[in-house]
Amino acid sequence: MYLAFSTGLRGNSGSDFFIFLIFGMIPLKWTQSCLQSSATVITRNKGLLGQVYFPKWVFPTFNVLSQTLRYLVVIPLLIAISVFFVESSPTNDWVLIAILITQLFLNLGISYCVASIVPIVPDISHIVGIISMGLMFTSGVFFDITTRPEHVRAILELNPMVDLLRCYRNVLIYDQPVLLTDFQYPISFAFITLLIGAATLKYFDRIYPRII
Amino acid sequence: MKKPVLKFDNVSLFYKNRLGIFGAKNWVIKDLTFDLLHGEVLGVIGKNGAGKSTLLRLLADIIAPNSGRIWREENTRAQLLTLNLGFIQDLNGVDNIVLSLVSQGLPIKHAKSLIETVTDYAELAHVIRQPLRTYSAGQKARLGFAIALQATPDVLLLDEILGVGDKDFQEKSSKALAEVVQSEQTVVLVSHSSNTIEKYCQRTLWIEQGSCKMLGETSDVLDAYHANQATAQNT
Repeated sequence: MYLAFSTGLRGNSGSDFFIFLIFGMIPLKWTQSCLQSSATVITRNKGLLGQVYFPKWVFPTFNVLSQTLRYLVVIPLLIAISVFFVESSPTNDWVLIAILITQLFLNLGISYCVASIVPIVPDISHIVGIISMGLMFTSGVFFDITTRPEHVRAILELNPMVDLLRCYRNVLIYDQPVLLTDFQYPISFAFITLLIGAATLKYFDRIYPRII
Repeated sequence: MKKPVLKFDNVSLFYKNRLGIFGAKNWVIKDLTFDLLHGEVLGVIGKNGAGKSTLLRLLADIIAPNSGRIWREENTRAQLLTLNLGFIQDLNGVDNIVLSLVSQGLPIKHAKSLIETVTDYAELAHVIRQPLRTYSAGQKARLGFAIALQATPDVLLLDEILGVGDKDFQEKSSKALAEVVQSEQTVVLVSHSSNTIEKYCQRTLWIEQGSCKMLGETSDVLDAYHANQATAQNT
């Protein structure tokens, strides 16, 4: 947040900025919803877990899928804005599928991590909101990352959403090609968090009902 | 001689008062060793906090012990049935029936086909579409019992499931449970009622402070248990 504001949260102005904001804010909201609702997904089902055995990955997975269904309803709206207001050509909109799949895996990875750790360290649930806000302010929702100074940019680009939002905008606003290398960091991030989250969920599978 | 379906070998389990390395260990089960035999009805008695419900969760493979070993015959499925069955209060009765039956391993189609049977048995047709939070404790218990009757696991684990509802329902539920118990079903029955244990169980395990105080013929164990209680009251 400090990086976003200290380097000037100016953005563009007028309707261009509104379009720029929409194509950052809505995709980011999907990830934020997954993150926030997955934090307490295991503790919320405490009663059920004490009575019946469920593999614990089921809870964050279904949570992410239900958030995904809600997001998929908004996708046609994003495409409609892109076609009618931005007058973007829909020729490379199919790349959107690759972006959505990458973001889905990223959401799963983040959700697995947070869902697995909150029952062990419940206080983390209090800072999930702050993490989510940090994710928003460092992802380039409000400003173009490329306009930031080099040293700030290097730090902001640690956020995997930066690459994904750039891909969304390149496809839906600027009609720019999306390269495979644009997916490299988000996919790696998703894979690592998925691995860590799934391993933690597996390790604590039959321990969670004892500690929540 | 009957073969064991489940074996506990020096099983111990503790809960921590708080998480982290400084949390004090509260041992709930200590060095518990016993066998559960095919087709038997094993009673479990003990005071409140003796570790009976935790024992059932270990048997159901819901939680893992901290030490010791639990052996299960291959493909054995043990199902814990309590009166709440992990109900979700905001869902209505129908959704809770389906959820509970599916979580017990029934296919969703089969679970849906049992909605009417469960509703009729629980005598809750007039409220079945209402959220569970509007049900009385007795209505929830009746629903829990009716769902429990539909379960067909290899090992049935019953936690204080008798004595539900009004007198008529108690008679009906008692009769239904007697049928389950008299079948070839392997059952572990936790109850505070000596009469229930005496009526249904061939062997009984008496747990005190997480350890096995006595395991044997129900009549012998109950005699020792009552004698112990009488001594405790006199002192």
